[in-house]
Order: sequence, then structure tokens, then C-alpha cells
Amino acid sequence: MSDAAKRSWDLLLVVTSDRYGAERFPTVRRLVDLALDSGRSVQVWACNYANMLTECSTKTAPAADVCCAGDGAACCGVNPPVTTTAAGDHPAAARFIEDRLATHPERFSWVACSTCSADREPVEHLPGVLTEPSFANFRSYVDAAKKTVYVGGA
Amino acid sequence: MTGPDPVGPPGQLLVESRGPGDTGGARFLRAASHLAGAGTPVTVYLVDDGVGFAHGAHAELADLLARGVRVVADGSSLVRRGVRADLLVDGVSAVEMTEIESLVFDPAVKVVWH
Repeated sequence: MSDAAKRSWDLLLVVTSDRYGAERFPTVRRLVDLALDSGRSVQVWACNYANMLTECSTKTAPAADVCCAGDGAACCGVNPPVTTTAAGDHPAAARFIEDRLATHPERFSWVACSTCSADREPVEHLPGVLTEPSFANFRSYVDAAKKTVYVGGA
Repeated sequence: MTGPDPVGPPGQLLVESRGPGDTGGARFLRAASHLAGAGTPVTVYLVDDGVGFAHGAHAELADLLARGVRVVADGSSLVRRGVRADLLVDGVSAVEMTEIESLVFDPAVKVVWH
């Protein structure tokens, strides 16, 4: 468990739903800023699709000049990997998270689930984002927070 | 850090983010009614698509208001969906997220976000 989990947080925000991990991220952003603007601390635990907000995927690019299928399929087996340097699918969210990590390192933390991420493909997360193996240490994060709120729900 | 609380005493803050087209939204509001009926202080905060309940006729919302439950709708969500304040159901008021801040962060208030 990281040092960030051991600290005391005013709020642990658990973002579990695909909706809040994607098109409704602006609401999560407002909640985070609500905490930071009022001088509070907030730690976000991302689960499932919300992990995609901070993923820096290593993707395979199509090699049009050698791929006989012409659609990026790995038919020729020579497609080179291309590593993105920021979360490509949700750049605005990634920029927000990076910014708040940089400007509020003592009051903002983002935790990604390495198991959820690995379910899709091996990935790394934005610098500064903590990773945890599924819910193994989740209780510690809850205990470290004065309050836990799950956003999204089933 | 926090101003006067315009949305009532602590208890439960029930947040509905799903619209009337989602049966789960109506079910959640009925649950809020049951809680209020059992004596739990309840504040309902409609956000994102949930603000769809704040205008037009919705039996679940009417029941909440009839029980005296404080129902507020997120102003930003209303603006994004083009819903003017004068279209809100009587008894529902538009608020900014800062106005429910005290409830969100108060450890004594249970927040259920649907």
C-alpha cells in the first residue's frame, strides 16, 4: 500500500461506473474541484472503465505498406508498437488529472486498478497515478478517508 | 470553508444521475420516498440526466415533494440540457454543486449516488 493511502483524506471518491469513467467525467471533475477549492483533500479510486482515463496504452499501429489486409490487422506480423504518452482516449480527463496531481500533490491522489487495466491489455498509467492490484488494499483506503462516496452505482 | 446549508439537515443525500427514461431512476426515487416515509431526513439531488425528473410530470417526484422531501436540481446539468429554471416543477430548486458541499463532505451524512 502506498504512503498516499496511509494519509488521511477528507473524501475517498470511488468511480466505478462506465458512465462516470467516460462521458460524465465532468461531474467527477466538479466534485474533485469542489473538494480542492474548499481546502479539502480527495483521493479518487478508479475502477473498471474509469481506469481508461489515465491509461497510457502501448498500441499496435497498422503498417499499411506491408499489411496485406490494409486495415491494421496483424496478418503480416510486422506491425510496430506505438506508445502513446498520454491517455489517448480521454485527453481532457488525463490533462485534468495530471494538472491536479501537479498542483495539489498533498491534497489530490488518483488510484488506478492494475487488475482492471490488465484485463484489457498491459498498460501503464500517467506519472503520479498510484496503482493497486484490485481491491486487495481497498479497506485501507476507506479507513484512511473521513468519508467514502461511490459515484455511479450499478 | 462552508456557508449556510440551503438544503436541509443531515441525514441522507440521495443523488440521482439517471433520467426518467431509465427505470432505475424512478426506482431510486421511490426508494427515497420510502426512506423519507420511515423518518430518515432525505435530500434528493438531481444531477446529469437526473435533472430530467425536475421538469414535466413524474409521479415519483410528486410523491417525494408531497412527503416534504427537499429536492434540488444541479444548475450546470440543467443548463447543459437547455432546461430553464422557470420550467422546473414547483418545489424543485436549481442549485450549484457548492450548495450541497456540506452534505457531500459531512461524515454524518450518507451519500448514495445512483
